[in-house]
Amino acid sequence: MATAAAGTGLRGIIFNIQRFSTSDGPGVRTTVFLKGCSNECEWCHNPESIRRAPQLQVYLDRCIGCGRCVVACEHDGQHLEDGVRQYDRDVCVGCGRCAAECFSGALEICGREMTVDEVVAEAVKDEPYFRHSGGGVTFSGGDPVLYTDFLRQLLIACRERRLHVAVDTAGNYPWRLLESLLPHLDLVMYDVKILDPALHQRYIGNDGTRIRDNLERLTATGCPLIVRTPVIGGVNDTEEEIDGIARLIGGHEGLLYYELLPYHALGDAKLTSLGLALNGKFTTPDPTRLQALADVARRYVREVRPHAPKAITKP
Amino acid sequence: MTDTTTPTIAYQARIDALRCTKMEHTQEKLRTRGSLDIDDHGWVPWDEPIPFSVKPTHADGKAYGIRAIGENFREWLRVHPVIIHPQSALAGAWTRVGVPGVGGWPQEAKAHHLQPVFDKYNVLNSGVGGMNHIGPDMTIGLDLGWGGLLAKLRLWRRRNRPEDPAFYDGEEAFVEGVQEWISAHVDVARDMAAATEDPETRDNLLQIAAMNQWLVEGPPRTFREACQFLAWFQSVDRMWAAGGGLGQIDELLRPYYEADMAAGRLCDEEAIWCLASLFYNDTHYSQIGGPAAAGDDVTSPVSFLVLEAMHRLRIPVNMALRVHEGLDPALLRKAVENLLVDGTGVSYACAKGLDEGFARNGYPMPLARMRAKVGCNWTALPGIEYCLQDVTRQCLVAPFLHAFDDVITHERNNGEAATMDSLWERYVHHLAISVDALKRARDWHMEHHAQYTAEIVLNLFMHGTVERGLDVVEGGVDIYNLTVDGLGLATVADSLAAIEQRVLQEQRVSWEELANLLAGDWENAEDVRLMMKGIARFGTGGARADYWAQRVSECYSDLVRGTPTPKGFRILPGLFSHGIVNLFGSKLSATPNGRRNGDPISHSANPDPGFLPGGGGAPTAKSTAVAAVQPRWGNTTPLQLDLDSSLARNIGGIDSVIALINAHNELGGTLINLNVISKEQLLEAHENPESHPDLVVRVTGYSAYFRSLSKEYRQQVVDRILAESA
Repeated sequence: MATAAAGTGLRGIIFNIQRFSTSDGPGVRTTVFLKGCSNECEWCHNPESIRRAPQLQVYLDRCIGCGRCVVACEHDGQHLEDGVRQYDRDVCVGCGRCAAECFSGALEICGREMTVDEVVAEAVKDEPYFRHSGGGVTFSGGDPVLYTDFLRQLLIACRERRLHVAVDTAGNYPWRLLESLLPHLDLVMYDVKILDPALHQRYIGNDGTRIRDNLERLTATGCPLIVRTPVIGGVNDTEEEIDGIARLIGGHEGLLYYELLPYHALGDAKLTSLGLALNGKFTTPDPTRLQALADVARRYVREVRPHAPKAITKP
Repeated sequence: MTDTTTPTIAYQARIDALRCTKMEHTQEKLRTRGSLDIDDHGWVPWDEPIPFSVKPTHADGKAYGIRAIGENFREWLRVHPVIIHPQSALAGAWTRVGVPGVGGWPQEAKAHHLQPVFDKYNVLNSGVGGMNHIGPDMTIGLDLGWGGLLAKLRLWRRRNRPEDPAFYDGEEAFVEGVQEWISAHVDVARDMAAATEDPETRDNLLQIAAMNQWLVEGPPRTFREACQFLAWFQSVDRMWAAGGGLGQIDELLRPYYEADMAAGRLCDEEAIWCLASLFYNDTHYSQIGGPAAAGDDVTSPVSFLVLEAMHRLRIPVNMALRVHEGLDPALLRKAVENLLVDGTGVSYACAKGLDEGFARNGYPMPLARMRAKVGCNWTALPGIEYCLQDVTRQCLVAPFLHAFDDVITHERNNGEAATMDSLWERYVHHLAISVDALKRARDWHMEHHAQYTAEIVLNLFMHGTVERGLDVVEGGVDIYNLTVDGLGLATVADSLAAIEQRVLQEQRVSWEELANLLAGDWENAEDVRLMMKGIARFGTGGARADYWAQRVSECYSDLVRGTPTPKGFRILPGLFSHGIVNLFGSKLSATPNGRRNGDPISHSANPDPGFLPGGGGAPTAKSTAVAAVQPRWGNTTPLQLDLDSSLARNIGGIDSVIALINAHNELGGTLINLNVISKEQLLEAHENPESHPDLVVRVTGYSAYFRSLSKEYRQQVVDRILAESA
């Protein structure tokens, strides 16, 4: 999967560019999300980020029944029956023609091919805010490292514009990919989700050996590093897991801090839009639990930052 | 005379009591008046009739002219209720804006000849008869006291020996009225003290009596007395014409603070209580921090005490923090910390854009730096400038609708296809007519205002008025800069960009079809409406709508600033809508940006809520967009930001907000109105305003209780925060 997603030349599939991001590294940041990941975490809050190819997201409640999508689709995937939109996902190739004609926002294409220049043009828009806050650009995903060559060009282009650059990665790829990017990076944000190989296999689809090995190599380089663990109720919200991860990363020179990110269900609406089933089996650890786990981590790591849970509002 | 023995807890209890009373007052105002979409003034509800009848000078039964105004104002103060909150450090309160039947313009004198143009171009605030939106120099009053002000009037009356002494007659009658009113409070404070069993309250009332006994004649000597003087000023100032402000409040009070602290007769807790009492008395506009004339920062311990008093009182207070490169970072951090805890707080006046803009008019930078934020959105040179800010609005949308009609009619009649160039040419044509009418309205105001009414309060706090015996509007000061504020920029910019993209480039809809859809208010064409709305809108950055926003702003600015009024007055353009985008929109038909018939038009020069693709609205994008369309002549174009309170929980959240403020200042922005609100709390309060009676929001330039606002105004705030935190 890693090799399939990588090597896209100088274009990447971007599914979101978020400005004024305040939790993806230091200062005010613009986070560029690249589509495609080599892990398949069941709890992923960005489920649209896993597949590399653009995908159609459907929000039925926004549909106004105008029928523009019916004629836009070359594969006969969109129908109106009694004014109610019907959609055949099996024939959808993710071309986005229907979404381009859908002005109500009921159909959105997730993922758009962008050049280095296009991405950088978006990134530099917030340069004054980066400068006043010590912020910059974070490349996230999916896993941006899988777009090694494209990402390298992005990093070089951003640095030419004196932008601080960070990469948020999940680590499941050959070491040489990340290694080749390190000279062009200011910061790596590295996700470590589960240490236990059996649990890793069960929830993420691989046993995590490569992720741990890459982390070990990364810490040895002394590169500025933030390690992040999404704390998933019922999966890794145990003292053993957090203790094990903190023990692995503690004491390394480049480690700035260790973040504990509580699971949230904000991905549920996206799962529905992609036609995927809700899993419903994960819970959000409460702030007290998160603090207790942070205290466990503090035995090995000087600075541990447990994040507050995200509020979910239904306007 | 001051009390240095009261424990901290007692001061806080007194401040809490003031907040409780304020909330009771707000409840009562809502009960009797319904929602209130303006500044949450400090007036207290008063049910009993006030036995006053005006002594008229005109057949319409009203009193006009400064002499009659002064005499009637004195009578009004004689019968006005005397109100003392026993837990306040200060006496006095006011009960309504305006002295009944006194001042204003008689019907026949108004600018009726301009009304047809105003009707055509949706001009709802022409500025004719506008009052009070100038800045006083409070040091004049603090140095002299009421007795000194009276002596000054008499001195200059003797020196000038005016043929018609109406100015001095009116002003003297007014000052005597104030003195009598203060004396009445001395008596009432003593009576209340005699009837009070609680020894601490009794002591406080006796201190109030003694302090005000002195202040009838003498200038303030202590921090508390200075606050009391300012409270008297703002009470009568609000009573007369509602607007105005105090100025650079930390610098005004610093000498008293330093002297009291050096003498050991004041502690910080007492100072905070005095300030809280002043803010309870009224929400008059003031400023803290910022550059002195020479550019050095004026932040002092008093600046921090002001923030602390606001934080502890937690009621609407209209305070601005003047952001500049040299600002004490601790003051900015403290303000933002309070913002994240309280949800609202100061607004952030951006010195770079304001000062450099004002200096472009040919003023030296030290003078530009002296302009203080003393109004909702605006700044003024305290005591030396007549600017009459914030009372004149140029609707940018109505000229667009006329332009659109012109090109459609031309196409229908002549078969000549409309183009962006022809649309733009007609837009400039109509906007120019509207701006010209506003300029003529300004001349009409300048020519006739002093005949009928008078800045009877502010004249006392200006340099030149008393010395010349002239009202501030008729030559009492040396610097005249009038202003106009435009509104609805995004509505026009997005409409132009939508036509350009959907009609001309993509040819999805013709001019004729669009005209019919607008005339039919998008009936049966929701998809087309959403298509027109779904372009890259103003705020995206680098989009065509951003280009059009800049072009409209520049055109408007050039029309306003390029030539003076026919009588030679310079007009400084800004872009500010207060909150009345609903009223303006209610009179306008549908627009090509997908706006429906009668819907609100865009707020000031802010992008519409949800302007980014997908419906979001990053604060940085909004900040950059608003900074880019500043007219840059010293008037303001505020940035309205509403952030979700989850930001406060993020590590680094404070630094992010500080960066946002500093960067907006660097980019040339002029003012930031900032709320940090919990989405959940806001939605609950919108649904049921009584569920959060103490929720304070910065509506635009002013602060108010959320529950006091009408549903439409609440909706504005809700729309903004939902979109911006999406």
